[in-house]
Amino acid sequence: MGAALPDEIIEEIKSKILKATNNDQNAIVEFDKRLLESSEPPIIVALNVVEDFQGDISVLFEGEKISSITKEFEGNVVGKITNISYKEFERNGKKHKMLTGIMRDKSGSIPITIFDPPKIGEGDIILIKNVVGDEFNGKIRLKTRNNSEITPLKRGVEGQLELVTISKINPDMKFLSVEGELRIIEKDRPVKGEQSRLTVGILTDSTGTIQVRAWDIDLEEGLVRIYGAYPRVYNNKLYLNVNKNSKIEVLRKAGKPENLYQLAEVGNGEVEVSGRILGFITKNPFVDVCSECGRVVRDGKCSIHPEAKPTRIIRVTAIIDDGSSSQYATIYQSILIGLIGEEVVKSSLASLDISLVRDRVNELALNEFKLKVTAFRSSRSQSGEESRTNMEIVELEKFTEEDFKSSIEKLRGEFA
Amino acid sequence: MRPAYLITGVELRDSNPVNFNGENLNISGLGLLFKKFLMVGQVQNRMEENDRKIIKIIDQNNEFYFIIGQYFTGNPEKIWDLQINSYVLISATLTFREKNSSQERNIYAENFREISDLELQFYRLLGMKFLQDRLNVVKKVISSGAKELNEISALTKSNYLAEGIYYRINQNLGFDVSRYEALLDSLKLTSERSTKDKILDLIKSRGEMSMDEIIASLGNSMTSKEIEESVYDLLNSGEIYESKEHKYKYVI
Repeated sequence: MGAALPDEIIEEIKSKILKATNNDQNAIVEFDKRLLESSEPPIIVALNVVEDFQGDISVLFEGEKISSITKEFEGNVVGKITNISYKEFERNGKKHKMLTGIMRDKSGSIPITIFDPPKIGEGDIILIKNVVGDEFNGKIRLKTRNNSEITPLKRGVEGQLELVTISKINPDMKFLSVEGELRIIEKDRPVKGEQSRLTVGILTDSTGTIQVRAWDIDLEEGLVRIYGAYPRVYNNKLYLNVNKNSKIEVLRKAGKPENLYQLAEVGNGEVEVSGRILGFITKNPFVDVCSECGRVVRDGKCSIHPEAKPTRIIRVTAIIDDGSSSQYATIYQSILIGLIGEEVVKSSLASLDISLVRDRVNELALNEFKLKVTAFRSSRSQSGEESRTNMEIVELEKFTEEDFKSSIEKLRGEFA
Repeated sequence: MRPAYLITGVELRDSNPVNFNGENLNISGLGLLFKKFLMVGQVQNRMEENDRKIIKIIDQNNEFYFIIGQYFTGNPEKIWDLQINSYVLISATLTFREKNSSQERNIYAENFREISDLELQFYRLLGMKFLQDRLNVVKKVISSGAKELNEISALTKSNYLAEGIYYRINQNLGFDVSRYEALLDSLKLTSERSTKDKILDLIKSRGEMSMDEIIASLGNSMTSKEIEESVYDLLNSGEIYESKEHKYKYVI
């Protein structure tokens, strides 16, 4: 909620809103509603309402309508600034900056020159007090003087649509738009005594990487386009600030896991990879499962189907590796049968002797496989043990000669 | 868990021991942190010394002795089945220990498997791809100026890869990128040359061969496309010539 202001000031703002919107009472209802929800100053809330109701913002700030400005004009103007360009010049041995652009309001537009401007970005709405009219080449324009006061009221995000690549970003840039793959490294850190929350990410494009610091807004991983980010230098390091006035468009959400490393990171999902089985673990291979739901049964009874008769099965653990990570993954009986044959599995079950199965699976160590692996995160145990990611091989196929040949062609293609 | 990276003999030879976050690991010149690894190599010998079984393997002129010891998961006796000069895919653990004020380096095999010509090609190419990927990642990190682990991790898309790069940057160890680029180039050349040499040897031994005959003879170890491309390269370089229509002969 906005800072409390005396009622008479709020009433004065409301009467200006009415004037600016041709007495649209809905604008007042909207203003009251937003005032309760917003943390911005009431005048800025009013500005947003007037803009949304297609009103005249110059009325709100008692500025001159741009269409009425003459070369004799002296006073206040409010409007959106676009087509910004900067020039540097030297006067009396001192360097100065000059901004030229176009100021617009509902009534029209006018060129403007601002000497030694504050930070102004494309599409910003600014209020200039004590600005004067001027004539150049027969055209009326505005220019600031020493006693002019410039107040940026609202940052424009839609203005600078031309995308900047990360390597081109420099600290002198104002608002910019940038596109890249975003990865979040810290989420919602409370800052300034929990008044603000900060989310930090790393944005990468083909030219480089930059840290993104998002204040009080959410970031989402994936391919994103950020409008209205502004570079800052902190501890000699360049980063991009984004805030509520910035706009973030998610072009593609962070994809499904592509390899075992990502699957383990995400903790659930499914991945299809090519990889090796480095070895097998065949400790405690015999387990009882519920004949109804297939869940492992404890104390001889399924907690969901207590009437169902448990069935004894074999399961083994494989150490699978796709070059991104090594993971333990369970191979249940049905998959194991496909791998080493039903006869071996049945004979092992009948004798409760795993040695036969062990010998057969060990022969497959260091072979190449096409694997489909699922993962799920186990809940934190009652004993306080951290939750962990469990993996299961749900499809398994040993590489054939054709698989090797097609993989070789694909790899050769990458080096061509 | 860290993967068992498929590495080349040069990377294995150039690795050094490091303690990273309390874990005893090895680091390669490109910042690959590893303990377990995979390698393909040619069996030079297998022997028993002081009650220890050992396999001697060569990869790119680098010789390595793999001890069949505490880490081995298969039947140790199977080393005697290995044919000399055959190729194996071997998984192993590299360890270092202090001995008489110097570091003793031991490679313990975990398992091995004799591989076919086709598998050899596949693993050689896969190893080259991993090397190329690592080179690209290191170059990307260098050009970005990233120094923090989380920034490097965002670029590598893997903490495992990021940690070693972070370690080398923070210890000012640098990266010998050009050396590994040269290694990759030489591996590419060797890979291409070995295909052509096989075709040349075959044509030499038979005197004259058609494309179909060459494919029929070598089709188990390489793809038809690869054979055709290599035959045309050999024709263009003047090492073979077309004696009759679609028949190729070695140029003496």
